[in-house]
Amino acid sequence: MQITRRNFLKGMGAVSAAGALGMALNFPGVNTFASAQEAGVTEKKELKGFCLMCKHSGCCNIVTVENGVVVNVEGDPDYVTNQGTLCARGKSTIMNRYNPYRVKAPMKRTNPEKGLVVDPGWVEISWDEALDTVATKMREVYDNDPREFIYFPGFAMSEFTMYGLGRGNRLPRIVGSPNDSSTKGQFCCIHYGVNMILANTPTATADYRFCKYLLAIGRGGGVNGSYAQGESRGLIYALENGMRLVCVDPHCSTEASLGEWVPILPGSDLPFILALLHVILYELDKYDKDFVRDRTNAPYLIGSDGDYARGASNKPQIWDLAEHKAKDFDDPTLINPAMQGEYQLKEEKVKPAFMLFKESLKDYTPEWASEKCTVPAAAIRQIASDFVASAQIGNTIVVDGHTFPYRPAAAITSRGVTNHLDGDIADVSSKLLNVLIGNIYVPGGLHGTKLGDNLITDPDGVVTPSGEATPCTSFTYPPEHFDLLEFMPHRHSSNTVACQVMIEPEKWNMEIKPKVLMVAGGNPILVNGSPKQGEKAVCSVPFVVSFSYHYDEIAQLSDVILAENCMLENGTFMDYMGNECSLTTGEPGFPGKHVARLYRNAVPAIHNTREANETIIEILDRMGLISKLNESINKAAMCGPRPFSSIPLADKYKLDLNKRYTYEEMWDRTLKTIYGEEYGLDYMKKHGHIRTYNLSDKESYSSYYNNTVRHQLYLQTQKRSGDFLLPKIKETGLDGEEYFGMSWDDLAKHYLPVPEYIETNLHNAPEEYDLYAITIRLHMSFFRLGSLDQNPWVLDWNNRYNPFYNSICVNPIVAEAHAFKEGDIIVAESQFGKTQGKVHITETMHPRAIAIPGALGRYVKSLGEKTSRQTCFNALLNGSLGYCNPIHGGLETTARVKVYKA
Amino acid sequence: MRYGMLIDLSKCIGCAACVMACKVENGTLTGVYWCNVYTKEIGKYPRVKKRTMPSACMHCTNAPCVKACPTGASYHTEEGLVLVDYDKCIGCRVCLNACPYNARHYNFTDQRKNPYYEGMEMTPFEKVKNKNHPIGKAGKCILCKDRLNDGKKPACVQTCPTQCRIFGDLDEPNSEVSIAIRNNGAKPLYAHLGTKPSVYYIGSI
Repeated sequence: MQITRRNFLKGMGAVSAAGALGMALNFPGVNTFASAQEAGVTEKKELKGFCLMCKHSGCCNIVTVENGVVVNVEGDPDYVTNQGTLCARGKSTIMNRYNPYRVKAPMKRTNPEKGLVVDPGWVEISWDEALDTVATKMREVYDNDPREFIYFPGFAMSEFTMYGLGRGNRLPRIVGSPNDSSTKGQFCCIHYGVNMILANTPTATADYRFCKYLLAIGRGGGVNGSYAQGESRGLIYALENGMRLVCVDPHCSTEASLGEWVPILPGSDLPFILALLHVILYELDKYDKDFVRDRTNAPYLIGSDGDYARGASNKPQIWDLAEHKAKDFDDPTLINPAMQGEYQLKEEKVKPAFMLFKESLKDYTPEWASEKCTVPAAAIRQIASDFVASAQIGNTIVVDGHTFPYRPAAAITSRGVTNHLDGDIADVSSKLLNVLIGNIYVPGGLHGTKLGDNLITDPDGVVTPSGEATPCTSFTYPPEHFDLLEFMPHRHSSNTVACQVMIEPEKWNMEIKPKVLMVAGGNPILVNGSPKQGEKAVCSVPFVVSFSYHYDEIAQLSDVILAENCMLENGTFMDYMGNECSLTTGEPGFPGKHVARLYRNAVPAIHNTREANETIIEILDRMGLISKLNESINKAAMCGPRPFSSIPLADKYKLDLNKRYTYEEMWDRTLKTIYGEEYGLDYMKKHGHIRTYNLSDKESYSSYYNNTVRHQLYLQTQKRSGDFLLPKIKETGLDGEEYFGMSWDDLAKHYLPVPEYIETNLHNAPEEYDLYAITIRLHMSFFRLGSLDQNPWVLDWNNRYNPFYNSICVNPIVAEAHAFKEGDIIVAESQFGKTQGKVHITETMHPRAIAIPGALGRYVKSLGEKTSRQTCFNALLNGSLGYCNPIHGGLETTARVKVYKA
Repeated sequence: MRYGMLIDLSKCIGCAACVMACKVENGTLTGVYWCNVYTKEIGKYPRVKKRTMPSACMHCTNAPCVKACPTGASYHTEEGLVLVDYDKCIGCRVCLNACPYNARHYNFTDQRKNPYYEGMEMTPFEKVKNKNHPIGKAGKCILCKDRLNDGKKPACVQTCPTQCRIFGDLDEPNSEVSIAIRNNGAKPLYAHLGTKPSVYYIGSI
């Protein structure tokens, strides 16, 4: 094996003496900061950059550095999204630079015994030693069986795992491993439904500029996250503009307080949504019938096998009532498509898909749903009625001179709905609510985050599902993915499953074992349904390397830590794909110009830390794989002309395969390929951002480009996927209950072409666990990003003034039943774990639910005593198969609990 | 000229970005918040609402704190700002009691003994900003007077994600803030006290 050695960044060789201070005791000592002179800056300077204190990353900022000290961060008024504003998280990021719990230099463990409470015996090492060690271990795996390299990225590293060097997880691809698994994704599996019905990603939201009725089920519309990049502003605009906001949630959030709160029992969104569909179809009989007939697959005839009945042309058939015969779906002579009835086609009886869809919803009355979700039947009927009435079915609107259907109502969902065992069905069903009123991609209605031309018509005339909803067409056994992708081809992330399988891969007949684990910006222990399982999985890997900013759980279990810059010190790029909560803000032109490529001018690092992309390039170089990297960049550069796209580098910018380039050089050549010679690195350093594209308002709506494609009301692609997969799984001979946490027959219910209610483990818990525990978002605590749980400003203010912070929230009814007084220390205990904290008694909670707000709680003490004592919601969850959604992999993020005084 | 502010409570989402912006700008001592956001619940389940209200020094024209100050340390600037001259302040804290808005703070503890990161030394940021907060003196919102001199808005106004604050000259009838106050019938907090605040609110709390 050949390791390339270089005098990499000579100046960085001066190792900080403070790096290892105190860590031998597994507790940081008093910090010594490098002086301004050491950092090499002696004047006041303003640096343009962007913020990544939440996952959205759409705010640009200006950082003021005075004699090496960051004295101010504020929004960049030149960027259209945040317009000079910043949220509390973005403001507080200054403290991250000066966090004493940071990893200040590369480290290696000297104690071979690993555990969250075992002293690793950290010893500071040079970057040369750290990189050589990592490259040597990785090269061994590369030469032997690259599949045994496992890569766990997370949100905190989205700069490079999702949008930069690692777009499409470039690193494991170059190494040759299929085993990458996002540690954050299992809490946020929100993509499957929008991928299937809207062919968009990552999520769907309403058009706040025109929307008049927003039904938000288990999700925030922008305000709960206090996003500054237009999402909070957009929702406020919509409310001022007369939009009704109905929040269906177990907790009366900030947004619910701005609108109307409909309390619901956690994890019962599916019956609620099914009942809405039932009321619309069976009681109101009012929906966009033209849209359902002409723009969905509802009139397609379905055969006895549940699939499209096809004609001689192999095209799906529609029964024309005018001529009493079946015709190709795109036959121009088709006059009056049948939506009901039963017809004879060749030798079989066929029905329009709409009939099957409607029949599937027959029993889901509001009374039936009310018993399960606690929302009164009358309220369900009222919501369904208001939703349909607000949609102004039949109305049109002119935008930029183009006439669109006008449907100013939308139902939006997110992880509050998706992250349940039935969350896939509930989320897709919510999309069908929107399809019924014909609001897809039209003003006022439901949109995918990705704007513009998105819809690809498949040969059946239907929208081609994108990303995670792409029908399964291959199956490999024994599996080679630790996250069991083979069994969950639509998974967003099943990281906790990966952890479970890594511990005993032979149980699933895997032929490989994990040899090297690299974790970047993620935390497979803390952000895990079963922290102990995560710990065991990580400890089962012979060599673990983490990119770490601070001494968190994964750092604690690593063999080598690659010390990472704080956000402000990371000079890097971001492909900002656009707002997820409010694509429109009411400001004309906003949607089409807010998407951008961003650049951050770095504040000089105060410790011996590095930017992670450069570190990965260095590792690949030392592995002798630089030509493979360059080849990969040449074929698919950092980004393409649209969000989530990539293009080959132009010939004149192609990388020499045998030369080492910096990360900035790769971006420079990418941007010049897309935008032209003058829009490279120099432009980005000066301006901080470049618009991805400029779309006019009408061009922002996907229906402007394609208004003939049909959306799925009958979930044929889902059924097709199951028809392929389920027999293959059964052929393995594995027992579903034992190997997958549910019978194969139960799994099949998730691949049906029509919505169906299923009873899940959540609702079958032992009686003593009488309450439902959820987590709720706090403005300064979510996503586990930005080290907010150590930030002294965030901690101090929230502890003093935010009664929801670091608490267990209960309704007064619960408090009375248990004789709790405000501030009592209580325990919340599930079947799987427990946590304790001070009780906050609040009328804003559903009386059968409790909430543990924020992303708090730690399993190590190396981030400070206070941080380690915080109340930890994730301790209540179960990350095993059987508690992960079998389609998208999302964890069941509600736990059945009992509460009692500590 | 009289600088003033309008806060639209129907747009306030209680995110406390203004609190952090004030912290960044002024580097106030641990536990001291010149700008703050208070929350409360109104109503009973299920008809309940969370309400939020940002609050800081109201820069009253008829300021009780200025009247109460025995040494003349508290004073009005020509632009209507209420400030404290630390050279004259004797730390008697009469002004803290006089202020009906709880907007004044006393610098009790040496920041070196109570730094942001508990048990650690002061961060370089604190070292730079700490000189603005002498121990034994009364402190308060200074309406980011240095930013005003640079032609910028106060940090709390600048940062608000929902742009719920409007800042400007109350003496200029055609300023954005004056027009918005007029058009919305905005009122100051505790108008009945006769303090004549320069901060106005829209909406209920």
